[in-house]
Amino acid sequence: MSSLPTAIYTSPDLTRNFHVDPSKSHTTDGVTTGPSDHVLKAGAIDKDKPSLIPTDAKIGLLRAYLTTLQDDVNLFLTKRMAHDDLNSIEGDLERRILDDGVDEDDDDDE
Amino acid sequence: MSKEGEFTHTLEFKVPFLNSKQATIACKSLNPDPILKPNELEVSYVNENEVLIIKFTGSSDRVIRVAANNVIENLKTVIECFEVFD
Repeated sequence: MSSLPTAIYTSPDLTRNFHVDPSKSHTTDGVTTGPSDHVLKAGAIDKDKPSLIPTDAKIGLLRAYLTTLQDDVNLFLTKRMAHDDLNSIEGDLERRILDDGVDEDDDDDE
Repeated sequence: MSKEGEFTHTLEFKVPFLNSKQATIACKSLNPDPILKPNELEVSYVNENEVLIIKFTGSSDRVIRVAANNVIENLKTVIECFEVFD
């Protein structure tokens, strides 16, 4: 394996490259995968938990690199989705104020 | 509007394996998995020598994230099989 896994994201407003830094430590136990903390605290056992990588296996290292890449992409896209949702709410409020004449400070009791 | 025009978001992974045989096996293992929302997403798998290229093209960040996370999870299972059996 002469190179490392990479990813590239493109959308109408952004291009982003994802790379793995081999000098950092990597694990097969990703932060964005597996059961949530809430489920684990409720007593669930993660039967699908990935196995630990053998220290001398290059193919095992690839799985760890891929997990890091997966986490990076997941966190990036989740942030984008949250930003889109926020814009959608703000856009809806703006549309209501502009199109429907709704004033967000209006008080029905007055 | 054509489907290609609607699919404005792309995410492409390049995964280098130890050899072309592993890349081919991974490609053939992932390829049969059906796409749940073909009107919102397309996925292509290509192997160029020892590199597996997975490309997601979709209508939003949300569909791309769900699909990519699922495919990478499956790919990690394939790699784990190589670790044990290869």
